[in-house]
Amino acid sequence: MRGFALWLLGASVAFFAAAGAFLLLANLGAGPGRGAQIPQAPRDTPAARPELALRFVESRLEELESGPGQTVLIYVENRGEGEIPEVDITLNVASENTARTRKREYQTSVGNLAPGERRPVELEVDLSPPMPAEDGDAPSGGKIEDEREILEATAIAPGGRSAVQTAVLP
Amino acid sequence: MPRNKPRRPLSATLAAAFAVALGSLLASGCGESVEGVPIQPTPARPQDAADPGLGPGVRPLSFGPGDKSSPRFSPSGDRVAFVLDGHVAEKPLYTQSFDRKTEGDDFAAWGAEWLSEDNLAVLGRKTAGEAAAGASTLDSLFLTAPRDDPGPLRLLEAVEGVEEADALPDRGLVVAVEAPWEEGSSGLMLVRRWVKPYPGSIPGRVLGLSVSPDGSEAALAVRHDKAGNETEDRVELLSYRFPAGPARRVALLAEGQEVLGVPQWAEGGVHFVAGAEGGPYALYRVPEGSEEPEPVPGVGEGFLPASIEASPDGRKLAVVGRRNAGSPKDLYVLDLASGTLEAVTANEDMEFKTGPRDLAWSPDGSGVVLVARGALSGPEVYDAPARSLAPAFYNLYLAPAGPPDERPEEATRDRPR
Repeated sequence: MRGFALWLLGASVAFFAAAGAFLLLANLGAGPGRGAQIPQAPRDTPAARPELALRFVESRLEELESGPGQTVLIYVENRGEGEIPEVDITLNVASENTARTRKREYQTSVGNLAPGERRPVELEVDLSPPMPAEDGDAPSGGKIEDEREILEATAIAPGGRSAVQTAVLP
Repeated sequence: MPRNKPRRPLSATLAAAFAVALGSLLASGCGESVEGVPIQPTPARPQDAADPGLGPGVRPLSFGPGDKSSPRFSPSGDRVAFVLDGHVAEKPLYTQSFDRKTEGDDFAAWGAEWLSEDNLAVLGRKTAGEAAAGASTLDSLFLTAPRDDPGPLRLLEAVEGVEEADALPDRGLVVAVEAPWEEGSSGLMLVRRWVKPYPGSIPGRVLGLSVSPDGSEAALAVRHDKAGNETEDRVELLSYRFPAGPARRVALLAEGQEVLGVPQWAEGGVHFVAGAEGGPYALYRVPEGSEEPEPVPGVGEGFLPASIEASPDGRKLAVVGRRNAGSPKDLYVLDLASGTLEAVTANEDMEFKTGPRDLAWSPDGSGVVLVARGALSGPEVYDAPARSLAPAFYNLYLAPAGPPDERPEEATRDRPR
């Protein structure tokens, strides 16, 4: 009987010590309390690899000139294991100057993408500088030296799948 | 039974010992791993807001496209106003989107100043309509509705013919205006809830104006347009003691010498950047009671300043410049008492704006806001939408500039959203 009592006591101590240890671990994992800054996710941690990917061909960007009829080459890729249907590409071309209201938008559809499929998309765009008359839409205080051109490409597919890249031209 | 006797206490003892050991191990081991081992920095990427290419501790205060300039802290230091492509926007310091902005395409702002925590003054001019109708195209000071007024910043023109303005430490603005009563002269006005002219006139056109840290005097750079006297087409530095003046000469620059930016009242006298047009420029000061500019000690020979801004207590000078012709442009803080110059940015490849209004100290003197963007030699591609990019466009950055224990937390701790 005494032996059983001792065994019971030992087991209880072991149980409470282990429980305490796990509580301690749980508190350490919970981090700072309310009011503290939200910690950043470590940026090196490999995030879930997006199924839909998109990228500009940088060598082709270097060939772009100011003027109409410029060709932008983008690759869109399905990195997932299932087919992605109805992939649409939008390319917005805008000035760095937000006071300019002229924004050019180009759209195309690449249809379905099979698993692992990568497809080139060529878009002809107008990179003409704003005409003097169009300058009227920018306040005179808002003239930027060496104004940059922004090409923002977005791929969108059903199910909330999307990818975006921005190219900034000097 | 007797054989079992020794086993029971042993198993109980072992179980207890195991539990205690496990608990101790977990407690001591886990505590060490969290508090004792620093989190390793991650490699920088071009679009990384936490590492814009200006060195540790520098954090962006704005994002996305648009030409930003003229940053100004609210008196509490909680908000920042700035010019964005000819409009004025204002927002809490660490938010990505702004709360209010002027609207319309017939207006071009070049500056903003806080009249109080809730009221902004906007410096700019009406463009299209009035100019086309042959009306005045002078710059004006506009008052805005208080912050609790929803919607865009509505403007009410308060002073016309504005040349420059600076905020007083105890609220309100000092504004230099073209003097309608005397051609080629200027006057000073106090703007609070009302507008009151200061007596006397300022000879010349005001190029730059700054109020001393205690608010008792203004330092002015003026250009004389009047022909036929020794000051014709020369730049003169003046001071004006409030509330009655008159303006007195601090220094008359030699013919062909220009002032870059705004002269600053700071410990040791009026400080300014000057040189022949096109440079090189140097940092000078005129000690009180003297009219002779002298090089400012501390920056070192060969230092090339581009713009300066005195700290709120006047003991330090924020200086954008290069240590020598071959070094990158950086933001430095010059301690005027000790003459020590400390780099507060470590420019990797950023272009700094050096306009007369493009530097601003936080009210507590712990940081300096500058305007910069990444240099581009060719197309640059980012894995993010344009609105969330900082270094690709001119944006505001807060650089820590106070004593280490008063500096804002490092950028990596908290990123704007």
